[in-house]
Amino acid sequence: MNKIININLAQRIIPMNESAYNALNDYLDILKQYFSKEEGGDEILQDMEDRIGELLQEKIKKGLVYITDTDVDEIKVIMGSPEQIVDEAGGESERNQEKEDPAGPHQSGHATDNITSGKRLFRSSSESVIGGVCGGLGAYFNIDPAIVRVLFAIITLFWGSGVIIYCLLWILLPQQATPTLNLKRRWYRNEDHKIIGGVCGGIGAYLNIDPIWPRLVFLLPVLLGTGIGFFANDFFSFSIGGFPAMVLLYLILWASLPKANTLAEKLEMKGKKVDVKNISEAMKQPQAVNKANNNGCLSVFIWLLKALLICIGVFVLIILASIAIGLLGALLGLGISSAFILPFSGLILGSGIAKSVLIVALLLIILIPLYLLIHILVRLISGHKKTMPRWWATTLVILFIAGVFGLFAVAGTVFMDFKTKYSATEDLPLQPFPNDTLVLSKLTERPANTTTRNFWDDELKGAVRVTFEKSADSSFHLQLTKNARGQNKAQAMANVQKIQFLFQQDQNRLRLPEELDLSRALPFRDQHVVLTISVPAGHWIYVQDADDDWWGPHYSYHVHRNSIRYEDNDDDHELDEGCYYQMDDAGQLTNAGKAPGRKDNDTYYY
Amino acid sequence: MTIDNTQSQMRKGILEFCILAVMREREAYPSEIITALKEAQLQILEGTLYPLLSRLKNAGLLSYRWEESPSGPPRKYFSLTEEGHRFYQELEITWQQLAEAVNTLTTA
Repeated sequence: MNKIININLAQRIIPMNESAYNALNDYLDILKQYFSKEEGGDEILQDMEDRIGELLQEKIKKGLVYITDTDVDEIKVIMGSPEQIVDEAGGESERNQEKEDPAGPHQSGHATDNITSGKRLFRSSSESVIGGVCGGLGAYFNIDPAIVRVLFAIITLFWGSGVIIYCLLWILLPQQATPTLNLKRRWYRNEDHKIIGGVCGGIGAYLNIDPIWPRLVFLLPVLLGTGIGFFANDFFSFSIGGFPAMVLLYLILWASLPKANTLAEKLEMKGKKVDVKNISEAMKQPQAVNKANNNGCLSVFIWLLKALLICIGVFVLIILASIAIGLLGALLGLGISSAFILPFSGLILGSGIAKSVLIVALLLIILIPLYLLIHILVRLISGHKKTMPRWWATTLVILFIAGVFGLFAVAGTVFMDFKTKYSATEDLPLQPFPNDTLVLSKLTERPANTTTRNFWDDELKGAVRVTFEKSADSSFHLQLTKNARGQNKAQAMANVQKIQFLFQQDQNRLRLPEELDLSRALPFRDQHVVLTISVPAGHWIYVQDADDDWWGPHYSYHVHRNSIRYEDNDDDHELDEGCYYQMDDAGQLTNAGKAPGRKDNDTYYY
Repeated sequence: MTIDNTQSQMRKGILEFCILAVMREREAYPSEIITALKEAQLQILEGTLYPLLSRLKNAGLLSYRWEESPSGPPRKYFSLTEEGHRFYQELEITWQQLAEAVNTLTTA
């Protein structure tokens, strides 16, 4: 039985039987492979189709009912095989063949001049899936682009670095048709021998081994895990770690490898030369179908396995996408967040120059990636293939590096400004008072010569710490340790001396500032003070709220107790407002609650 | 070195020249060119013509226009550009010299 189909070849309707159709299709496919890389290759192909159509139609006109294999073979003889045509038509490709690197003997068309002037790295317009970067790398190193793609996919797993490298190369490399690779074999997925995605079949064909071997390697962790695993723990953990790794590897290969679609590709996969003889031979062979798939139980299992793998694959894709988005976000975020430091830069930076450098560096670091991102998006959306000029791309890269360098330089000067630490301790005068309780409250007024720097307030709140210790005698004492940093000891000391710690004493009430106020001219150099209050044993500390309301109702004083004694516990204690604390003989403050059996607590202060 | 190879090398060198020669007087579509070449007993694979035409066109030596055909789809009529004519003149001179040289050598 023979099916006759009508085909439309270059606007001519031609009836032919199915095998003639397949033969013609394969022939046109090979021609396409040969000429699609040449300038005007599509046109050449169209003209040839037109001629083939004409020749076939003449046969029909002479009374032939339909076209058969023999007729197609005749056409092939008239037109010639691609090799014969290239051999005879020669042209650019051939004249340059001797000069060329053996990597690209089939190079043809206008691209040749560049190739012969020395080997250069291009993005390939002929071997392109996304941007042709892998195709170009493959052509440059004369390796199968499929291998490059797999490598890219694998290094993308490392924090998305593959994506970044790919984008950089995409921007930097000019596009060009690259020579057809002179490879013995090309790596495809072999769907003729597939169980899941044809990956193992492809590996088998590529390495010229039975697909069972790659399959066994992929299943190795499972086999070992279930087999030996029950006897040896090490093997079991190997399989636990190995299984996801193998699944991931399989998915990467599945996604990166192209499917061998045409007969020509299937021949390439097996390392056979693509010519008419091999193609017709391949066509005569019955399509190898994996019969094992056809029995019910196994096929259900394979179907389930496939579904599972696809689910994992989608999951991995989502993760990869979020990695890529995250990286871009982080890049932008880094720039933008540094921009928010700008208002404080006066606080941190000593000189105006450093500030200008910082601004310029930040602008470069933010704007250049943004510009490139937009550039890529526009190119993706518009399908515009033109790369930016090389000098412009180079300038951008240099500027970006300069920006990063500037940022680090500024960071370096800041680091230098913070290099040396200095601290000085002094006793603060405390007027004697008759009570055994010291009331702590907040100082709300600010010194007149300082300014409020709202952004910074929060950060400096930790700059005043209060610790308590047991007094050596029977009265309260105050001791203040001022700390600051500077480029050298002299500067650090000067910064220490400029610290103003203003507090008020009103009988037994001590008003303490919660934060340090820096005078306008003073840059931030990690100024902080530790106020040590010596409390005689048996005496009391009362924590009182400030009279105002702008701290909110939950105000509590942050206090650090003597850290040596509390080493084992957490360091940070809070003294609750409205509570009494008594110093015991061991130097510990204990919370006595709101009314620790003192009759005079209400009348005490008010 | 085989005889086939050498023969094909010899043919190859003059193929473009012959194609241009077919069109030097009048425009022609590919099938016509093939017929002309075959009538002149020049053995050529038909497939060879198309890449050559394309390259000559890309080099600016040929141009083409579409014309309706009495039978079948429209045809691509190729003709020599001015540059193509100059190019052909040069080739013809070279050919005369070559032919003379070969004749002298083979008849001497």
